[in-house]
Amino acid sequence: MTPNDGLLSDIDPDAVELTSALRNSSGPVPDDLVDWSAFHARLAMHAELSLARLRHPGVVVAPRQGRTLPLGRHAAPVTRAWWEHAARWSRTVVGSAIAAGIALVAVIRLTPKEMSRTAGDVASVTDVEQTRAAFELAVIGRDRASQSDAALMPSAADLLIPVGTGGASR
Amino acid sequence: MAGRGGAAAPVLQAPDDEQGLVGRVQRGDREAFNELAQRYARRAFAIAYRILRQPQDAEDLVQDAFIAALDALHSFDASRPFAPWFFKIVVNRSLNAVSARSTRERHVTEFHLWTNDDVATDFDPAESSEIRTRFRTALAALPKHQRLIVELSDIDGRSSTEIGEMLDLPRGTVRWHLHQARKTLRVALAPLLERSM
Repeated sequence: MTPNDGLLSDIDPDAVELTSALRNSSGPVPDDLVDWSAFHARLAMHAELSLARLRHPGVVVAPRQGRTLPLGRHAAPVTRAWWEHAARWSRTVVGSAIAAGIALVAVIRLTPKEMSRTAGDVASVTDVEQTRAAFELAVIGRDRASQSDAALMPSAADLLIPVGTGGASR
Repeated sequence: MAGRGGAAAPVLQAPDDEQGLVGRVQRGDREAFNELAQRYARRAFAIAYRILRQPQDAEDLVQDAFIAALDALHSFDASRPFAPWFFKIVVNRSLNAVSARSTRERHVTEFHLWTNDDVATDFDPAESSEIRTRFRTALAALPKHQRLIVELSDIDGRSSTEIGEMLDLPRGTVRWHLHQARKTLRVALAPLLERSM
């Protein structure tokens, strides 16, 4: 008999006395203290909900109203704190904000160029017109009001005949 | 009565009709559940009592364990024996309850948890009191798993296979713990054992 014989099987001859002493000293399990009829009645009562869940696996009981709802359709009856809402919506909000930001940057990068070009073009046309009007007024004494007439007939300046030239010939 | 006089607990072999019974409970059959509870309640109580040492706590725990088992039964493979799976729930919950109680009542020493004068023995009262005290002190000094294995094996008469299934340990590991625990106990209780020879 080696000291490790107890490892080979559940029955250790050397442990018989020890086992017997342990059994005597530990005493019996006091299961006669339990009212087993009451226990099983209580257990059956507590097990009703779990058994109902097993009978109807697709149905849950709404805790407040006490009525059954199809699984997946019932709304959560509990109120949520603001941070739970924030956490729930944060991903959507952040994603939308990034998309909106990109769109806004794109619009800003395109739109000002168009507007400045148009405005520049308008400004340059206006400048040319003004310069031309000022030049014409200064040189030939014609303003913008007489431009339509000028288009139809020659101006007085065009009709001037040099006096010295014509009189000398006569 | 489990444990008295070394009466060995029945081996955890699934009865022939157990698979059908568990299958019926999985479909929510009330009668089948009552039958299953009748079959295993006392043995579950014995296990819980060995760990908790309080009959009322053990009773409550067995009830909770049945409900927990029922709630998890949809994921249980009905072709496997029910008892080891259920007793594992009982053992885990009992160990958790002991841990919670130890945290709650730090002033209660391990020795006091083992003191239970309601338990009757066949010894002479004066002598048995001293012997019981020594045995309990020696058992309480063992590591938690070894103490539980000694109780389930040497006191309740369960096999190392059963205990391994309950504690989620290989059979060899259970035997090693049992061997180590017996060795420790033999040394601690040597004077008592010699006197009784």
